[in-house]
Amino acid sequence: MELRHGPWAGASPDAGLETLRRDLGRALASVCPASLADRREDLLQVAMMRVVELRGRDPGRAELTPAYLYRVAYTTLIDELRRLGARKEVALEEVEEGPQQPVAPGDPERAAGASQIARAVRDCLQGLVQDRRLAVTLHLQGHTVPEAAELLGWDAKRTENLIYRGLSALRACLSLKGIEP
Amino acid sequence: MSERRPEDETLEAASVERLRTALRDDEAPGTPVDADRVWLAVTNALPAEERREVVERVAADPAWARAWRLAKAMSQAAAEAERASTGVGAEAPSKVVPLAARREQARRVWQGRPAWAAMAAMLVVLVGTVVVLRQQQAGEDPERIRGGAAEAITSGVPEATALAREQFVIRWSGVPQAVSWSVQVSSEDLKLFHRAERLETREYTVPADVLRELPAGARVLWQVEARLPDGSVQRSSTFVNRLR
Repeated sequence: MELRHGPWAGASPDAGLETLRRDLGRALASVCPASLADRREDLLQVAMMRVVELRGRDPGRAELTPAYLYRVAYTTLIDELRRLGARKEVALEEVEEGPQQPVAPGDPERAAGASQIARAVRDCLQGLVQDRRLAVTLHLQGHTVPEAAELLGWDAKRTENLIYRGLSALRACLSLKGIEP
Repeated sequence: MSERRPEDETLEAASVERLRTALRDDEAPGTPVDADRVWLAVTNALPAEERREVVERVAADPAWARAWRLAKAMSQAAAEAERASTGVGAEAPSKVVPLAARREQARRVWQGRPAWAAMAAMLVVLVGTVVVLRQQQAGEDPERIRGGAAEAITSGVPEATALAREQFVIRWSGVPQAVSWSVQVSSEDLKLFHRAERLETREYTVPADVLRELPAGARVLWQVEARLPDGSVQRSSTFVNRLR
């Protein structure tokens, strides 16, 4: 990997990997459900191994840019999350068949509460008119108004209005379901 | 200009944050994700129509929503790493500003215009003078400003007391029927604005990092709201304590 300067460059390409590892850790911490907290290290390791494997396969390639490697790490994580989800479903079926220790740690009450709210949010979003739904969805995903506007291909003022009206409708719908956000 | 008050927006920001937390902690499996398509949508590499289609999936499916958040975090980190590796785009990365903060920024735009700023400052001084004079005429404590109708909530911190930044503990009493409390804390210029919701005790420690920007001796304004069993809200006066 040819890198010129910054944390990705310097004497050792490992500095770039360290940065990627740190960023992956942060992304996982901000994205993963609390119940997967103890799996973060495993997920991180799997993604890093995939990146290192890719690098090792063709060490001379200069085009392994951060953007490319971060994307590889991201897709690996999605695969792993899917695998974990599938394993959990199997484990739940086994629990239904007979008593067994739960495999997923975390706070089950909190997870149940979060799932109930999240399900209600999804239901309510489906009841909004489409443009509001899209704008509010991106807002709930943490996008700023300019980011949401750019992603949706609309102007910022319109997007901002859609978010405000959409949030208001979402709150009303959630209230009807007994959820006061 | 919106007719919304700053506290409405702070409240909204807090409730949006709670919804985001619930979505993040949701463990529902969802359907298989097209990870590449999500990445391309997040990075604006798909046409707008297709991006909107992906957002539709994100709205309806927890796995797609998780993938979107991950793609967002990773693509932003990648962009920063890219900038660091090439030295291109030395400007600061775009800052994620919450909606409420964005409106607050818009309100502050006028501050960059000297004539408006001077007129506004004069108006503030004038209004402040009138308020203090009227309070003095009425025999009220000038350290207690605004919200005078709700006298039932009283401060438990003597107003002459200067509080330490690391131990800025405010207390109050009154309204025994209150089911929860909210506190809002601000500096005099309102550049600092902090709100804490759903407190169950009549005491709150203002986090030290909230007060970080204020110099020693600064006046810190705080106001308490009691939420009553019928859902209504009773506000206190605004109390003032100095930062030690």
